[in-house]
Amino acid sequence: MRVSRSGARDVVGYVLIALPIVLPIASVKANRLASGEAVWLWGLGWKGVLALLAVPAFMSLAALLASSSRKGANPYAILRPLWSLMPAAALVAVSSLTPAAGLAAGARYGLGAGFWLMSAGAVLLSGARRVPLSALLLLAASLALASLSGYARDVSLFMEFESRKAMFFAELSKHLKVALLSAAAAVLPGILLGYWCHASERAGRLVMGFVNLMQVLPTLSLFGLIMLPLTYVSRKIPLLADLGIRGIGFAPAFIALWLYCLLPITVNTMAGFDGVDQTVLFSARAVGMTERQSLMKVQLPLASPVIFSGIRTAVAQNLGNATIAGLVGGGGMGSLIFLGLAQAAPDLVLLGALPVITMALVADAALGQAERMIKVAVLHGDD
Amino acid sequence: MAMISIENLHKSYGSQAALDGFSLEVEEGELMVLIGPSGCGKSTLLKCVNRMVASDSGSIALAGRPVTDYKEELLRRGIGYCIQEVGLFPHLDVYENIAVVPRLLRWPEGRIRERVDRLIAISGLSAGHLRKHPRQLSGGEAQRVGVLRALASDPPVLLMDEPFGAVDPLNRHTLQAEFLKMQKELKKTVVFVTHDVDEAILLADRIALMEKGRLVAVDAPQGLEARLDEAFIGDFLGSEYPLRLLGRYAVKELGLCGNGAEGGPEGDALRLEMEPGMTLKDLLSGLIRAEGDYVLVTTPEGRDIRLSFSDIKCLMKGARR
Repeated sequence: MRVSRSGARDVVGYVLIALPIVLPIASVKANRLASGEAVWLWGLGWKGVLALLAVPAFMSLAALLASSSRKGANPYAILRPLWSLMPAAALVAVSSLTPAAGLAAGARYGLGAGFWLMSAGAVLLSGARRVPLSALLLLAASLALASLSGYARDVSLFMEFESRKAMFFAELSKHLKVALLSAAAAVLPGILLGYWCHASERAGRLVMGFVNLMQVLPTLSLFGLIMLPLTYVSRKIPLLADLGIRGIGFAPAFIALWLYCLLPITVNTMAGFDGVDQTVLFSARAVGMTERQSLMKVQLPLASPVIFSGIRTAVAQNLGNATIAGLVGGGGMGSLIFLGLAQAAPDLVLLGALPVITMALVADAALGQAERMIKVAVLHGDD
Repeated sequence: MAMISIENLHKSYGSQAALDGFSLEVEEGELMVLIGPSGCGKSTLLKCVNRMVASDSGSIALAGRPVTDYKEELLRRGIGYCIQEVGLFPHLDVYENIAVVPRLLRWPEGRIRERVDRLIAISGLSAGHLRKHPRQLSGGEAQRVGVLRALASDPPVLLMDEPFGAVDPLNRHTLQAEFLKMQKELKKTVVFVTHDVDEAILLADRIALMEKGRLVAVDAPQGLEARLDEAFIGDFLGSEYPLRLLGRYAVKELGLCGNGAEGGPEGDALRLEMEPGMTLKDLLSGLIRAEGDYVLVTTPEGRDIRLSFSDIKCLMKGARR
């Protein structure tokens, strides 16, 4: 039997959401550091199982309806993003474990492999070819709602969040700030550098060599390389130090992330300009455009979808990379992760890591949507 | 004064001479076809006229003024240019593609709209094409847009570099006919490069035959017929040139002479309908098919005319005059 690509994707999704049958969905922990005792599917009460089955049951019904209805829009395709409600439903299922008298002081539920893999499967199933932005937003909203309404009160991850709320939001804002600002600051130089590489073959080789070197350089050694001169400079020029440019903190993180962003933007800009049809360039000259007019009216518009794709890569990658800012005192979600590692508290690590993954995915999905719109606007088709 | 005067033009690429002392005068309103084997320098010559290529020595003047007097961009905005690959701007729709040069010349938008509407009206396109994008056009449609873009600012001079070379034969014939019709109305000074002898015969007021960067002969299509014995001319145009030349003449445009009149209905003689596009070549084909040595041609008025091979000779004699 031939399985189409989206079919294969669905099969993986179905297998993943079925995994709680064989993998523990949660664990009961005496305190935040204890490894805990596994809770299996059959350990959940009937309420828990019901909550867990609600989304798959509803979606099966939608699929059944879709296969029987012949005309109009496919209801299953429209409802697909609802799959992303499954993790929140699973939280409700876990909360049903709590005995009437409540848990012992300090005790909590950890989320197990079954929960995580099932969540991954649900997100995968939420779109036919890619995870739609609506599914990601639904996921975030449903999780927030579940935790606000108390269903996650005894779940370790959310307890970590409760006890570090202020820090969480402060670091989240630092994370976004350093990631987005450094990416934004790389757009113009990246485009100029990319154009330069396109215009001069020698510059191309030189710059490409440099940006490639940047990519293979381990992140930490890059920080080391940046921290040394920054420390030196800020000692020599106190004014800079007063402005916050020091060997540790925001400045080295910003510079490192900025350097990482240059590569995708530069490479894509170069590819975008290189990809403009020679005949079209010839035409631009032949109708009497000046170099500048050819650049602004023809080359830049034609290269813009590819350039934007580079910016999208840079932003998505930067939201992940900004984690390392935590290592140099730049703050961000990395601070939570490294604190969690230091305390051997896995849920604190997750509390730092999950938002990073979510932000990267959301940015990629949103900018991907924008990229398709640009392609349609410029070339009237997105192939 | 000639519209385009080219004098003793030289251009080499390395040690390879593309143009080797080429001179030619093109009159105003004339359709000059440049023909020659590939690599003879005909495309290079066109590019020298609008300075897409800089010549090494010699001069080109437009209406008496050397092209080097103009700023490159300004010169090009004043010369229409179409190429085989068309090179439409993929991010602009048909209207915007045609409007490129008028916009560079800062025409007011109303005037541009009028001009585009008029061009669309005399072309084989319809107003429905205006909002389409190049990727939605067929090869023939794209080429028509290419020609309209070249004509948009109403330049006196039009350079065409094998514009119909990449179009399939059936479409090519339509495009050629449409272009001839447009040229009759617009009377541009056209330099048209091709390597297709039939195309040259059909379109040219005069044909300039090139070899190795030099002008070998320049004459009206029927004038070259007399020079087929000259070495390169006969080799390139081929011994069947007179036969091809028949394709240039529509039967209805030539006064019918000889015994043409009133053939009378003779039962099994081959009967041809005189359609507007019927050429002497079609007539000859009919004679070859016919069993006897004449065919009956039905005129639009319904008269039958009896035509034989001697009529073709007679008609051609008239055409040469």
